[in-house]
Amino acid sequence: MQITAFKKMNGLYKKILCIVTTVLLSLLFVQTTWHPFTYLKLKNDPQKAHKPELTFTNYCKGSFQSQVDEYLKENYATRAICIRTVNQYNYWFDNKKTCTGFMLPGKDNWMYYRPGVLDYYGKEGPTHFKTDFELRNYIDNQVDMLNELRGILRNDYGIELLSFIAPDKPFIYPEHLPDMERDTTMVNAGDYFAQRFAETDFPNIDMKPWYKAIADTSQRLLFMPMDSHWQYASVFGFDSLFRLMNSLNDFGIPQMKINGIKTSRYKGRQDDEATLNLLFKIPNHTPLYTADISVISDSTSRKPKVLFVGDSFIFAYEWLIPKKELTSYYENWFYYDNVYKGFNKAKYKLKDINKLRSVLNADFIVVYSVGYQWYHGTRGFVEDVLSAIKDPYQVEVAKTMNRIESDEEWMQKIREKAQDKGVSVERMLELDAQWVVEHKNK
Amino acid sequence: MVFSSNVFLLYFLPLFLICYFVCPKKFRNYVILLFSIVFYAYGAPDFILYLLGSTVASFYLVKAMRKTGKPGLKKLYCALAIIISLGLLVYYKYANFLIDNINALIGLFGANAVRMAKVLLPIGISFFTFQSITYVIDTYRGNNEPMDKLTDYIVYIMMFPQLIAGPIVRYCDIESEIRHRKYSSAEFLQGFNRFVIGLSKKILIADVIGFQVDKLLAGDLAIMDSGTAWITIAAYTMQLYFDFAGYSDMAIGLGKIMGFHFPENFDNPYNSASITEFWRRWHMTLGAFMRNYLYIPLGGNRCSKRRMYFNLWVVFLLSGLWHGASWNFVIWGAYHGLWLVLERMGLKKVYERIGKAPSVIITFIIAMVGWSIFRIENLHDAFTFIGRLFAFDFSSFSINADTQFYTTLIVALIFSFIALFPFGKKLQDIVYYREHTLTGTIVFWLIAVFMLLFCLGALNAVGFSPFIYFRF
Repeated sequence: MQITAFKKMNGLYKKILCIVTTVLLSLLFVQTTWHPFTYLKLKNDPQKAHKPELTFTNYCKGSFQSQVDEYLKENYATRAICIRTVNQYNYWFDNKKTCTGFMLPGKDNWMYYRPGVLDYYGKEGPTHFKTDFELRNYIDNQVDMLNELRGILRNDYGIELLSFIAPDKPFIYPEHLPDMERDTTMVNAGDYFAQRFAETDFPNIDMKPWYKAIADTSQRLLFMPMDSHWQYASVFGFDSLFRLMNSLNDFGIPQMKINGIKTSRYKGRQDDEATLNLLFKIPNHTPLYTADISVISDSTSRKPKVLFVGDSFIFAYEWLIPKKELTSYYENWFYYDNVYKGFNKAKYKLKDINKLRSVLNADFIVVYSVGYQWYHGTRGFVEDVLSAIKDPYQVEVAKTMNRIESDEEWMQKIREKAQDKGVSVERMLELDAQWVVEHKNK
Repeated sequence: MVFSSNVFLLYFLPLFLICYFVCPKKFRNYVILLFSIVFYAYGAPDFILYLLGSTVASFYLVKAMRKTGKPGLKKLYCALAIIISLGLLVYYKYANFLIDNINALIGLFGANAVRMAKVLLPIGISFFTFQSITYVIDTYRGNNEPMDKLTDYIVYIMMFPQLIAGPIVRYCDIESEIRHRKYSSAEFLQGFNRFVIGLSKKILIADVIGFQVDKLLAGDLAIMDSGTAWITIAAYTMQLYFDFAGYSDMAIGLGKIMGFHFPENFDNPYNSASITEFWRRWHMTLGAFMRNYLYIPLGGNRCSKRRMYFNLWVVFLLSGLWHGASWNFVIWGAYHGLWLVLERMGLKKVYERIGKAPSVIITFIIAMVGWSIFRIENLHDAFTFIGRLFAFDFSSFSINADTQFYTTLIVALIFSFIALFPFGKKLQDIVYYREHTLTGTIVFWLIAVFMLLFCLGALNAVGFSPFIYFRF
């Protein structure tokens, strides 16, 4: 009797388990399709897939099916927890190698930006160029163009163009890198740019050897173990940069003075660990430092207008440097895509602004990047500006735009016109400048 | 559609389970039919009509065959049904191969090449063609009655768990279950566990190893050192097994959930002490098909020794050709046929004398060398690779692979050989076949749910690849 009852109960529980299985799978379906529950997102998740469009042609070609797969890959239920679990497993058991995201964990819980590691091991070049000759040829051309542009800017407009090769963490602290086989087939882009700049007397600062020398003697770490970005030590880079700028034309830029390095109260900006998307946080006990900086100026000092063209090294300038005491205006062309103008960082897309006007508005133009970014050269900057500056019409329009901008009354009219026509102020300014130039000689 | 894809796991399977179990029992075959059509049409929209057309044709031909009282006409219908199935298989699978070889041959005499547009291969054609043939021949032989309802027959041919890559289910094996089947919660849970085991084999083992194998074989084979070559082929040996056995596990598991009992397709093949035994354990349903529908009709064992050796060799030659329209598959088949003949001629006695463990190792090595021909389609490259295996040059041994590859390879090797030991056999029995107590059921279920979610994560963290056996 008891055995029969037990068997019945057993059967009932198993039936319940079957129902739970079906419900569980159905919940996955419901969540994937309609997302009724919000759940923790993954950090730096590059969600790019669009919702698939079902048409007969798409379906027959198979493109609908591949779109569905791509879309589901990025939007399925429990994605965050599933991927974090897999990452945690890989982190614990598989030499920390296949974690998703941009970061690559090295030894002793150090984090590195993936392309930087590949660059250190000579593997980044072959992803951009077929041969060493092709890479060298590309860099030679870039340097030639930069020199030509520098000549024009310096001689015709009194603007200085210079470059800055920012330090890469893997080159400064290679001892914590994950092990990889080295590829020696190609030259390192950052190194070859530095060499070519030196050979052609192009003003450049290569921070890599500098940082390496400091790292070997300094008691404090120049990079935080769990962050790939530059911390307090970047002030040395900016100090050198401003000194170089001053030496080029005795502009009279106020001088930075580094009074000392102190421990920061903030733990922030060591957050690259989060991009590993693990289940459990890796404990971090390394202190974060900050630099105590003052600026020395006198009545002869002049604050320049600077255009920065490069990558995220500029953020260190924004966080750590008293920029208003050093520069009167600065503009940042971030990855030659987004533009941040002025201290309030008004955001534009590069394609929506007149590039030449920004160039001619500056006293100094600094082209900078970390080593592995130099495989992209100047990302089109030198080509675009060189072509524009050789066109008298474009130069005239750019100059006129800058002239109009300094006339507040005229600018007010432009703002009103822009509102009426539903275009941006920048575009309206350009249209007005074009009209002026075109009607000037009539 | 593949089982290890998001669309199957997140859309198809939940929807199917809801519809299947909500529907009254008498309509469940229609649910299977509808979902199987969607399953096939999703991945191969161009061929769904061809599949349905050939299935309908063979159904009515068999029906006519059964009705007619004239033996001659009966034979004609049977032949016609087989010719249609095999003819389409030959056309779709071997037309390109035949044309290429004819062109190569007539090119020797300076003649112009025969031009023909490339024929695309309908996915799973080798599997559903063989199933259709078992139905025709078994009905012709009187082993079973033909199906009354066309829909039931289409369910037999097109049932999505085994439609694409088997197991090759003989009609007589599931005839009664198509008409009437029993459902049990225990079998549902066993089926779910089995499905997740198969999914894990595919995603966590086969795909991880396969990624590295592809990378290694993409290099210059002529300069590969022997250590790397052996690791590469051992890895491929594991990849192929876990890929195909994983698919079979998923198919068998899904079948169990639905109330069907598909035949097992693998029985620890790498534990075999001879190639003869290997073929009793590897792709068992193909072996059974070849034995019942080719080897025995050719005369089987009941003929002269010379004829028997010839029969064996031909069966394996054709078995190789079944795997793909390419010379490497033909040679791979012939290679296995040769070992089988040698074993019958006396090699088996040598194995018995040297004992189980050395025999297993020798058989494993023979199988690995065979997989080299199977994997590397270009024959010149395949023989270069085999040359490197036996060059015994370990001077520059290094594999630039991650720990994940080695860990997975070791795990795969352990799972492949665990059944050689009594505790391993017991463990397999507990995991695969035994009905558990309630606590055991809950524990296994929780592990299965975790593994399903883990596989989903792994699938989307590294991407997915199609099953190797799909192209056959």
